[in-house]
Formats: sequence, structure tokens, C-alpha cells
Amino acid sequence: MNQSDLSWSFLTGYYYPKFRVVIKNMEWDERYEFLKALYDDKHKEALWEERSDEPIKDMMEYVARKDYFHFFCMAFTVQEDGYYTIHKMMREAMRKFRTLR
Amino acid sequence: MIPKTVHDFVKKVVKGKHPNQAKPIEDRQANVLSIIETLVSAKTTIGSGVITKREIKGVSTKDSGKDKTLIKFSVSDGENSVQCVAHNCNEKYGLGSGLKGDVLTAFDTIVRKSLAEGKPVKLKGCYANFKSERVFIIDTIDWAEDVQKSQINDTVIKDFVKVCAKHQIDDVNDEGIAYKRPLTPLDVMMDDNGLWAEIYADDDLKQAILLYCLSPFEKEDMIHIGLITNPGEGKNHLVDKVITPLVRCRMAGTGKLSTFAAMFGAMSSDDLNSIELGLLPKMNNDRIVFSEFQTLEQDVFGEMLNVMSDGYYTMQKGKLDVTRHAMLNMAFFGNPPNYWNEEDHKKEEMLAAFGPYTMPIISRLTLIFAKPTLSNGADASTKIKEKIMQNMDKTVAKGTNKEEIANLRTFFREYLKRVSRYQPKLDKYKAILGSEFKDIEALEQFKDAFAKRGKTDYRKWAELLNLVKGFSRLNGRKELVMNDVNYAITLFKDSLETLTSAFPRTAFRQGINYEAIELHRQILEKFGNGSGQASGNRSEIARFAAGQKRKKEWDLLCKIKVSKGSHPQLLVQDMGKGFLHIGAKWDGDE
Repeated sequence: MNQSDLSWSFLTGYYYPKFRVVIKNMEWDERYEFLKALYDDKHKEALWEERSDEPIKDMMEYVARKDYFHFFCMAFTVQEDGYYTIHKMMREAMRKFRTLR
Repeated sequence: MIPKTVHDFVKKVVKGKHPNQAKPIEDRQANVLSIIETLVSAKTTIGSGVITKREIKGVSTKDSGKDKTLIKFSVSDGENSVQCVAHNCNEKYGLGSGLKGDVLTAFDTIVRKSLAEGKPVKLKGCYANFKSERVFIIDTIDWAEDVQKSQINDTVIKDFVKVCAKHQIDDVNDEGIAYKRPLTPLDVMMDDNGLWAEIYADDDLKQAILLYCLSPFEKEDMIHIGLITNPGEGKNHLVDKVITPLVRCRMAGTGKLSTFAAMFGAMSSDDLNSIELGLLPKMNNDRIVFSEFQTLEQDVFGEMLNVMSDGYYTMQKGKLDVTRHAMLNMAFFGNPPNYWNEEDHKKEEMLAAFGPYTMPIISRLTLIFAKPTLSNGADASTKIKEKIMQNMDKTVAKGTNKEEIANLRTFFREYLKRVSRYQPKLDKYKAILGSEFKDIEALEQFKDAFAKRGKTDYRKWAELLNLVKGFSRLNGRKELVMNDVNYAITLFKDSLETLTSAFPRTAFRQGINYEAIELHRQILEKFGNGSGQASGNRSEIARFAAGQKRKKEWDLLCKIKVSKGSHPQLLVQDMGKGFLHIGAKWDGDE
């Protein structure tokens, strides 16, 4: 396993279950903002578009299609040498997790 | 529950009946009592202990012979001490036949080394009168069996890991989803019916204590912990019922009883050659607990700084400059300072008992649990009370599983000594560890607590790495696995969280206690409206509080004001018709 795979393996094992707990504890309006922020920061050139009058519902459908893992991956920037940076919102989510559990 | 096959394995090893364990595990405690018992009879006997004091006398009398040497030294097992004499005087001097010059020189080398490094020695001799003193005259002196050397070998450790792994245990992940995984040695050590049969503690505290029970053989291996909680949380009970029965550990006295000389040793102004060994070097490679550390003199903390980071200290008096090894794990158990809930205190001020040395000391503490109550887990209070009752009834001391518990303690004492010498390499996980630490450094709590004078605290980095290695050791492995990293990071962050977040400042300014904070949390959980706040009928909430036996705390919560912007408002607001709204946060930033 190369270094970046090893890091992804750690991130998914350590962070993903916690991320799911935090995100599922959010109301959908808060959840929408959270996921949108992760998306926008990862896709600066093509930000999240609100394509209907019901953006939250659209987000729900998108999540149902793509799964939370899709957004989870946006919270990390993993380099080839395995070093990574964590999105500040993910850091904050982990703090919330400590108070939730 | 520990599986029967694990108990059987442990028993076989302890009794010396396992194929890879030829001899039963012995109790190798230093002991000078056997010597003291011959004080009157003056029979030849043997004993063991650590040299704590050495003096040299020159003797040139008609009876002793010309230019003779007499070495006076004290040997202690921690409880008792014996005054000993080794010499090369003639028999006429009245102290038996003296040793040959080269033998005395060799003995003196052992005496000096034991004094410097706290290594135990084995003595043989008998009592005799010397002037007006009764002293133990040495026939032979040699190194005692190294108490730090484990009586079990690597093969037994490997076998134990395999025996554990044959069992699948139920666990739940962070999402609460149940799954099965192999049992590990750490699971066995943390089981409530084994080493923790006499006390209830949360998992994070158990892990911290077990890491503390590892023996440091390199200065980088030292693990220092701080437990700062409300009085009556069972900190000393933890030492009596878990640590001391398991590993070698001494508790330092409080305040005036833990003097400088008692801790570090002393040189006599009258005789600079007379050097006494303090408690710290006596516990080299072991551990010390400072209970009620807030009563210690601040100067003692000052000297402790070197020991905590270097594993040795130096003493100077006159022309002497002496180095003493004190590579040991230290635990500081205490209460927050009395002024602590006054206006504008900070959460980290729970540690202000360290006085002007607060910053350097907390920098050296690998783990700090600064929380009002040690155990917050589900039903913790009920479980603690149950354990207290079981202790009163001597359920463990006289129960049917007392032999199993005794075997576990004996086995893990030797297990911990063996695995403490393992040096798992961190390199494989350097990117993960480096990235995680960088993220920890970015936490506000970290900046608040440690990185006040610079961007980071390199000691904390070393401490995190040490924790990772510690978890690998506890699981009997010489190589790291991902779980070691998981455990270490979780524990490190939990510890950081308790240091900076356990005590909401606004709450304490208004005289709120832990019980009220806990009730607030319970109300948010029970009556939460999804926004992190709570709402409900006044009588219903009051009934709930009464059901939790926290009626007084409910009255208190109703009087609390939190600031919203510049306008203070009640934490519990009456929205009319007996409908209440309860705010989520204490610090006015909701």
C-alpha cells in the first residue's frame, strides 16, 4: 500500500463513521450548508448550483445518489507522500462528535 | 468478560506450567526485613534493597591495621532500611574478618552504582556492634535479580496475543453499529472483571492508566499523566486497587512530607561524601504518584521539570556534582485550586496548583484529564456506587474469582515489563501522524493550552508519538498497526478536550456545579428540539429533573443568565403558557 492509500485508509476508518454521526445529527438546513460548503471549497471553479426552488430537497436527492462518502472525500486533500490537510469544517465536526458521543 | 481459555493461559504461565514458561513467576520485591529480623540473634542472613546512602571512613588504629577503609551505607527496600558496613580492617578491630582490598573495591563499585542508578543489590552478612551502633557487616554484596527484567519471554507474549485473537468480541463503532472483532491483550487488561474489578472507570482513563503502567527504559518512553478532578472521585482508590497491585509504584506524600531531600536526596553539609537517595531515583524505571499535588511546595515542581523531561537530575554541593537517574512515569492527582471558580478563571486554571511552573509542567504531561468527574460513561454513577458496595462487602478480595484476578495481576506485571522494552517503528505512519498533529496544532484548544509562546509545542509531538508506541506495546506488538494510531489520536484529543472544554466559564461564574451542567445536558438530550436547544412544558421538565434527583440543580438552572450579544438573558426562558425554551450554550455565543 502506498503512502496516500495508507492515509485514505486511516481517514475512512477514523473519520468517516464520526462524520456520519455528526452529519446525521444536523437538521437538513444546517446539513445543506455544511455539505454545500465542503463542495464549494473543493470545486472553486464550479460551485454548487441551486437549480430549483427547493435546494435542500435537491441536496437530499444528490446525497441519496452519491452517498455521504462523496462529500467526506472533499474534506481532505491527500498528497502522494501521504500527508494531508483537513478541512476546517471537518475539524469542527470532529469536535462536535466528542460532545455528541 | 475474559474468556476461560485466556484465564487458563494466564494461570499456566503464572504457575510455570506453560510449555514456554519453565518457572513459576516469583515475587521479586526488594526486602531487607529478613536482615532486620536477625538484629538481635546476629545470624548470617541475606536480603536485598537499594543503596540509599554512602559514607567513607578512614581507619588507622592498632587493632584495625594501618590505612584501612570502612564503607558505611544504608540499604532500603522502600519500607525499611538497614545500616551496613563493609571494611578491610583486621579481625582484632571487632567487626569480623575484613574483606580483601580488591574485594572491598569491587563492592564499593556496586554500592556507588546502586546509589546512582537505584539498582537493587543482594547482601549477605550478620549484625555486629560498631562503636555504639548495631550495623550489618557485609560478607558479600552482588546485584540482585533485576526486578525490571521480565520473567516471561517474547514467545509467551506472542502466544498470549494468539490466544486472545482466537476469541471474537462484540464491539460498536462510532456510529453505534455492532460488529465483531478479535480480542486483544488491551481488551483483557481493560476488562471490568479483571484488573478493574474493584473500581469503575471510563475507557479513556483505563487506557491512560495502563499506558502509565508501562516501564520507561528510555527517556522518550516516559509517560506522565495528570488527573485533576473534584475531591472524592476515587483517585487514590485507583492507585490502591489498580496500579499498586499491578506494578511497582510509590505514592509521594503531601506538602511538607514530600520535601526536597525526600524526593531528590540530600548531601550532608558535614560530610559531602554522604549522599542519600531520594524517592525519585529509588523508583527509576518505575512510577510515582503525587497525590494532592496542589499541596506540594512550588520549588519541588521546579526541580521536577528536569526529571520529567530528561530522566535524571544533578545535585551540586561544595565540589561535588552528582547525577542521579530517575527515569520514571509520574502521575499527578489533585484538585483544582480553591480560588478556581472565581471570576474570570480559565479552564486550564484547574492546573494552577502547579504555580509558576504550570506551563512547563503541562507541557511535560503526556495526558491530562482535567474534568470534574473521572467517569462520565453511561450509568457511570450507578456502576461506581455498585463497585463501592462490592468493595465494602469484600466481593473481590474474598470472591470466587480472586485467584483469577491475582493471576492476571501477576501475569500482566511481567507482561508490561516485557512489552515496555519493545520499540515499534513509527516511520510507516509518519504522514498520518504528521498530518494529524498539524491538525491538532490548528485546534483552538491546543493553542490555548500549549502553544502560547510559539507556533507549537514539540514535546506534545513527542508525547503523541509515545502514545502510539504505547498502544502497540500494550497489545504485545513490536510493529505498529493502524489501530494504535487511532487509539492514540483519540486519547490525545480527548485529553486536550477535557483540559479546555470541560468547564463552561459562564456557568462557573454563576456558581454552577457539575451536577447542574449534567442536568442541562440531560435536558437538551431529552427535550432537544433538533436545533441543539430544548423546549417543553415547565411541569414536565421539572418532573424530569426531580426524577434525576436534580431538583435543586433545576432551580439553579432557571436562575442562570447567559449573554446574547450584549444583552444577558435567562438560560431557561418562559415563552408563555408554561412553555419553556432552554438555551444550548453557556458562554453567550448561541
